[in-house]
This record gives sequence, structure tokens and C-alpha cells, in this order.
Amino acid sequence: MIEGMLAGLSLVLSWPTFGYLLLGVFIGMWVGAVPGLGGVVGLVLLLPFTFSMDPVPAFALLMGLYAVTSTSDTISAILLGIPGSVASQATILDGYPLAKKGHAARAFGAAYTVSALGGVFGALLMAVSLPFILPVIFAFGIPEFLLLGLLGLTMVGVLSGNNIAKGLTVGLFGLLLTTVGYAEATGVPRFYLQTEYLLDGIPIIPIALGLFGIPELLEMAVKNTSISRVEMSDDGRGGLLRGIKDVFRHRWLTFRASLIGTYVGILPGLGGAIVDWIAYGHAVQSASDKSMFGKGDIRGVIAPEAANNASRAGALIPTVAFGIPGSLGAAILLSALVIKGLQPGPDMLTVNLGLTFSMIWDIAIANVLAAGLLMLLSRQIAKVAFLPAHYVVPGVMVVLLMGAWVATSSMGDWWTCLAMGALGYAMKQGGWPRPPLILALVLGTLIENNFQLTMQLHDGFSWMYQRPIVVVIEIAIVVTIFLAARGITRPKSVQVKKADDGDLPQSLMSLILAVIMLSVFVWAYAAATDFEDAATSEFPVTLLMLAIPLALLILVQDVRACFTKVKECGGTASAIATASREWNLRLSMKFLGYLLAMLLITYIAGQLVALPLFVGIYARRWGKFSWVVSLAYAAVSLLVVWGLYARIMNLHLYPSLLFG
Amino acid sequence: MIRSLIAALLTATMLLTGCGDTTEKEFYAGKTVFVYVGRPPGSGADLAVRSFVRFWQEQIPGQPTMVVKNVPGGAGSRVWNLAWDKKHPNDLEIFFSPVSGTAVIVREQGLRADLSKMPLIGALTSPNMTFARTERLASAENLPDVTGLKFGGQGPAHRFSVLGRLTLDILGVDYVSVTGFSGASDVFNAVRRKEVDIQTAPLNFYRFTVEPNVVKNGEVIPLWYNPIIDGTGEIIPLPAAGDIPSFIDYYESVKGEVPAGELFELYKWLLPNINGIVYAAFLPRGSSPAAAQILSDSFTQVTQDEAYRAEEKKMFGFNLPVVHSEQGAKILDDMANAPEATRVLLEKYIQQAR
Repeated sequence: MIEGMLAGLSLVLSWPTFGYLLLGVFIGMWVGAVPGLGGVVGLVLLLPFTFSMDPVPAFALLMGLYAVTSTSDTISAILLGIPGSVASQATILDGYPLAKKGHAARAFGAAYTVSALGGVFGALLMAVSLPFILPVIFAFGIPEFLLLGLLGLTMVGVLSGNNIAKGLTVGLFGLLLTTVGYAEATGVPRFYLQTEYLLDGIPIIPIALGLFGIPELLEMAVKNTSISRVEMSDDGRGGLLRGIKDVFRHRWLTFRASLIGTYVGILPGLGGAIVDWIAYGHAVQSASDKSMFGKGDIRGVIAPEAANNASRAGALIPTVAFGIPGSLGAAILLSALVIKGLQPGPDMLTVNLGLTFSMIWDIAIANVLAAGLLMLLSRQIAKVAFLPAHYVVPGVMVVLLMGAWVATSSMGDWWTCLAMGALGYAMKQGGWPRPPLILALVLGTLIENNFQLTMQLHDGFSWMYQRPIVVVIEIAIVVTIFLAARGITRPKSVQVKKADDGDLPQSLMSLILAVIMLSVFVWAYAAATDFEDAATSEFPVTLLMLAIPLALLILVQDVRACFTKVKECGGTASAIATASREWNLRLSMKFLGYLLAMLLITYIAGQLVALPLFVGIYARRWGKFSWVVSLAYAAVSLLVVWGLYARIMNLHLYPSLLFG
Repeated sequence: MIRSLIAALLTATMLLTGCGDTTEKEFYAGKTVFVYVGRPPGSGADLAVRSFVRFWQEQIPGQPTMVVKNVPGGAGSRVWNLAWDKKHPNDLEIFFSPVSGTAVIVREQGLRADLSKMPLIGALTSPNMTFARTERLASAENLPDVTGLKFGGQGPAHRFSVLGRLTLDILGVDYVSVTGFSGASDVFNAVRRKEVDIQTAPLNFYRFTVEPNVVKNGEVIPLWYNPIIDGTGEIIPLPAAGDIPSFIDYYESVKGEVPAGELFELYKWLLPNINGIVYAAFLPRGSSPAAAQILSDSFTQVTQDEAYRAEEKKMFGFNLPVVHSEQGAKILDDMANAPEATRVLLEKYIQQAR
């Protein structure tokens, strides 16, 4: 074993292997930082170049990229509140509020330190765990996966803020969205509105980018504020050091989150998707003072970032050693092994042990390199938080929309992104939590599939008490719900006050959302009861039976609240005027109108015309920039769309009416 | 006027002397050809197409740049609909993706394209086979005597689910069908966890993942492979299968007779069709026949290129059988115009697993 480790290390440090590792790290930092790209796209881009290379340098290149995308995706999560990838979604909850408070550099310092530690820890833990990891993987059967999915969903309680009914309703809405398209169990399409785009389900990237990104950009555009709502102070090197110190102050949390990341990461198909949420939930539950979570608590950055980097090593080992890919990225690495003529399996732990260890070393070293490099850059990156909005909004909007386009390269991605942007904005204004929607999207298909498979494989519900791991997870779910409920009921006086404390515009927007949600649920229920097969309708019907009463409850609460506040306000007309002012309705609609116009121009003239036009007009009319600056900004955006997305990424741009 | 006349004369001379062929071949020089694949980046199909394309661009006269674009969606049907909707084909867009034979036969919702009406450049097929856990099975021969086995499969209409269930039903095996797994590796994980006993999967998956991990240690045994049958009903020899018998041979060895019955007739009809084409490359309707010919010839040349064959062998463990354009067109036509009784029977059979 020790010999294998040393042999692996000497392979990685030899030339040109180390050079390839560095190259992989640089490319990984780049694809991770651009929202919507991420590790899978990067691996696909690099894979053809490795066909003619020797295995060790080829894997150094691929592993260098694969290991660090979850480090650099933190940039957009913290700075813009936009998830760079699935792995950075939980980081937004506290990372973005920290940036708003002017502490972006502190958040970066903590995130990069903990990413490096998590990555190294995960790699070492996996190396030590190799001999006994297989029984652990196979101890988790389909019922255990179902329960793990449900455990992930109970995080909704943690993420729901003050109103658990709204959190649950949003979670159920997210689950409903996962039932759109072909049901995996039966192959029957559901809720697809006769559109081809929806047949394969709604992709998560446009939803996540729209739900989180557009509301923030809209608010920045309308108010012309910088990301940071405070002036730049000394938050440069000082902030960075403070973040590093935070990690060592919370070293046990770092350790526990890395442990969660490594071992949850090995679970095929589940690990990478929920590991950051489970780590975040653990951070909240284990904290004695929970009051700052969601408002900029550094522990909310430390836990998910440690876990998602640790999970990369967790996903690698079962892939290499047993041919069981833990994620899509790991599946590509598996293909790379096969292309090199290597058989994943026992040989990788015997005759090719040196190569296996070289891959573990690749992960560990890449994490340290990426963290160091990003740390050097982060003082400059953090300054973006203090730039005026109009410099940031159009450029980020282009990157955001093209990130959404990566999903399926069709206009459906943009419509989804825009619709979710409008929904996200309304949710933000109405005090509805957004994270449960994403968590439900991540887990919905997994829960439904494993439920259907469990019911086919096991008679009745005896599996619920006959399988020890299932029982342990059930206990964890009950404890999570109990703690979440206790968290809500404990400060009762404060809670009641808060529930009614929403101002009139918030209550009114909440009411509008409740009406929309209820209408969608009722329509979906009517459609679901028409499905022929039980396996097709069971899951949506069950969740809608829970969702409809909850939406009704919220509706009643909101009607009452609005009624009282309208009276206080002096009548309906005055109330509507107040709400419109608060929402910045005119400017918000104008901004959405710009986006709509840009979509329509795309149909006519394509993205290479529409996006630069949007950037140029925004810069000139909203930003009041000079013609020269506006045109230069538009030209740069054209270069980015054409060069980066159409040429380097080879994305299929929309075949417009004019240019085909 | 004089210029046009000279140009016309030159063109006519070139055509008469055979230079027209060269002109058409040079059509691709300096051009970019886009290859659309209907699966996401990193999927097995995406990697197979990307690997093929690297060699293809060397074989096309003029050696164009070939760029792969992913257009996943509609459970794989979006890419075909995109090809079908092309109004102005320019011979520079190729659609190369897995074909779902059952979707074509049962006219599944979502697939608007009629693949039999688009020019087929070439196709590849990929054999599949069935294996089982040994825990409940003393030997491959006593499968029909074992009761309560669990067969794991993807969607009910997936060809592995259909072929796997059909073979078990023809044998009269007492089993429960568990469908709805996301992919072959998900089913295999369930096999390893002892949750399901039998799986039908691609032969290359068996060679790379199943054999080294669980066949060598005796946990799993191969049962049979589903043969690829040509248009005349002859079984195409499959050296890659090694000692694994074809289903028909397996049936004869355990039952002592040739298989028969309604389900076997369906199986026999399906073999040359859904098992006959797995990856297919098309041009949109209305593309020039000359371009189709150039691409078809170069497609065939790739499959004969030693360097490609070596890489393909590394990726799949063997060389994928090639389906030439005429043969492929016939398969597609047969599937699109399946006899009504066969189509209804298949639909009903799929429905039983839902």
C-alpha cells in the first residue's frame, strides 16, 4: 500500500505529468467559474486530446480539471448569488449575503482554504478506505437510496426560513417540476404541454440560473447598486486572512463536512448532487447559535465547500476500483480508462495500483494548487462586488443566458430561465424561500424512481423496519424534522410577530404566488388523475394531495394579512400604488421587457445579434455610458458568445429566421 | 456573357472527363461539418460519436473540420426532429445518434421524424447479452427451473427490457420484471447488491464492467447473447461473443427443441430491426445525393481504417458490426412500416411492464 502511494506520487511529480496537471487545473478553474459550464463540459472538451497520451499524464490532465471545478464555481455563487454548478448551490445561502455585506474576500478565503483541505482530506481518506469501501457501497440498496433522498428533502425544513408551510409548498412544486416529461418507470410523458422541449424533463441549470441569478441582476439594474451594499473598507488581504482563520476556528465542522462529503460522494448517482446540502444542514443543526444562517454565516460557506471537494475523491474510487461511476463526471473518467485499455476493477488495486494512487494524488495536489491560485486572485475578484451595477449586469446576463443555453441548446432553455427568473423575483418579494425548489429538483427523480423500484422489489413496507440502515436514516429524518420544528416553535413570540410582520407589498406578492401555485397544483392534479398507469400517476398525485391543502392554507393566511393591511393603508388603490412603488414595478417590467425583446430578436436574427444588441442598448440607455463604451461592451460580448460558446464550446446556436 | 459561356464549357468538359466527381469531392475542403448527437456530453453515445468523428474527418475528401454538437432532449428524439425540420439542407450537417427501434415501431409520442425518409449515411450496431447471478442458479442450464427471479431493466420500451423479457418469457421462466432503472450501470449495481438477478446489457458493458468484477469470481454467469440477424434471416457470426451461445442455441440446448410461438415470432421479427441498428448517421431530407454518397463512402472507409478499428476495439472490446446504407435503409423502412399486428403486439407487451 505504502509502496503504491509513493509510486503514485513519483508518477504525478514527474515531467510532463505535473505540467499536464497544472494545465488541467487552469482549465478547470476557468470552466468552473463560468456559470452553466462545470466539470462535465470541461472533461468532454479535454477527453479527445488524451486519446493519444499515456495514461498517467492523460489522467493528470483530466483529474486536474475534474478536481477543481467545485473550487472555482464558488466565485459566481458568492459574488453574484448564481450557482456555478449543482455543487455550489448551498454555498449561495450564506456566501452571497456575505458579499452583500462587503465580506466577499472573507468568504473566498474560507471557501478556498476549506476546498483545499476537503479535497486533500477526501483523497487521503479514500486511499485509506480502499480495502473496505466495497461493502459500504453495497450496503446501500434501493430502499436506502430512497430514504437518503427523503433525508435530503427534510433539509427543506432547515432551508424554509420562518414559514415552513411556504418552504414545503415550494419543495412540492419543485418535485412536481421533476415529473414533467417521460416518467422513467413507465416511459409515459407527463405534463409536457405537447412540447418537445419538455419531453425529457426541465433541465436544472436554466432553472437554477433563472431562479437565483435573474432576480439579483434585476434588483441591481433597477436600484443601480453594487453587489456589496456597503462601501469598500479594508476587505482585501484582511478579509482573506479572516476567512482562513475562520476555517481553523471551525476546524471540527471542516472535518465533519469533509467526512460527509467523502462518504456520501461514493454513493452512485446521489452523492455529488446532495452532498453540499447535507453538509449545510449538518452545519445548521450542529450550531448552537443558528440566528445568522442564511444571512451571512461563514459556517454556511465552510460546510458545503469542504464537502463538495471531498466528494470528488469519494466518487473516483468506486469508479476506478469497481467500475461504478458515482456521477456523470466519474462516468466520463470511466470511459477514459476504457479508452486507455484499462479495465476498472481488481486490476486497478493490484497491477495498476500506482496509477490508481497517482489519480488520488492528482486530486489532492490539484485542490491545493487551485486554492492557492484562486487565493492569489481573490482580492481582485472580490472588487467586482463594489463595481456599480450597470458595469456588471449586461455582461453577467450574457454569461447567465449562455450558461442556461448549455443545458439543451434550445430556446426552451431561455424561456425556462426567464420564467424562473420572474418566479424567483416574485418569491423574493413575497418572502417565499427559493432553495427548497432546487433541492427538490435535484432529488425528485431519484425519490420517485427509487420509490417505484422499492415497491416492485419488496412486498409491502417490511423494508422500512427490516433493514438497519433504513432504520438509522429514518431516525435521522425524524430528528431533523423535530429539530426544524423546534427551531420554529421555540422563539414563539418572535415567530408570530414575524409571520405577520411582512409589509403590504410582501403579503400582496405572496398572495399572488399562492394563487398561481394553487392553480398549477389543481390543474396538475386534474391531469395526473387522467394518467392510465398507476406507476405514472402515483407520485404526482401523492405530492399534489399534500401541496393543494398547503397552498390553500397559505392563500387564506395571505388573504387575511392583505385584507388587514389594505384597510390600514386606506383602500385598495392606495395599497396597490404602495406595492408597485415598493416592487419598482415599472422599472422591473422594463427590464423584463428588455429580456423579452432580446429573446424575440434571437428568433429573428440569432444570438450573435440579439445578445450584443441587448448589451449595447442596456449600456447606453440604462447605464448612460457613451456610445464608444456601449459599442465596445457589445463587441466584447459578441466576441465572448462567438469565441467562447460557439467556437471553443461548439454550442449549437439558435438557427434564426434570417441567418438559418 | 462570354465569361458565363466559358464557365459553362469548362464545367461541361470537366463533367465529361470525370472531373465533376473531383469537384464534388472538393466540396468539403476548407468547410466545417457539424455532427449532431442527441445525447448529453459525456454519455456513452457522445463519446462513441466523438471517437468516430476524429477518424471520419480524415477520410472525407477535402478533410473538412468536423465539430460535434449535443442536442439532447425528447428522450433522444429531438435530434431526429431537428433533422426532419431542416428546410434548407446544406450537406454540412450530419445527424449521428442512437436510434430507438421501439420508438420507431410503436410510433412513440415525441418522435415526429420519419427516419426511413432521410438519407442514411451509415450505421453501426452493438450486440447485447443477458447474464444472471449464480446465487440462485447452479448453472446456466437450470434457469427455466428456478422460480421467483427478478429481471432488472430500464424503461419498459427500452430494447434491453423488451429483448430481456421476451427471451425469459419464451423460455417460460418464472420471474418478476423490475423496470425503471436509469441506465445499464444502475441495473448492474442492483445486480451486485443482489436486488435483481438477471440483466440484459450491451456486450461491451459486459466485457469491461461485468466480466472483470463479478464473472471471474463466480458471482455472475453469462447466459446468451441476442444475435444480429441480416435481412435474409441469417445470424451474423459474432466472434466477440466468444463462448456465449446465441439465445436460439441456448434454447435448443436446454429445451431440446427449436423455439416457437407468438412471442418467439415477435422476437425473430425484432432482431434484425431493433437489434440491427444502434447508431445511425443521417443527412436531412433534400440533401444532395452526391454528398450522401461521399459521406457514406467515407463512413465505410472509417470502419475499415486500422487505426479506428484499434481504438474502437479498445473502447468496446470488439469492432462494432457495420450496417451499410442500403441495408440500414431497409431496416428503417421495415420498422417504420411494421405489420399492424406486430406493432400492436409489441405495444401490448411493453404496456404489460408498465
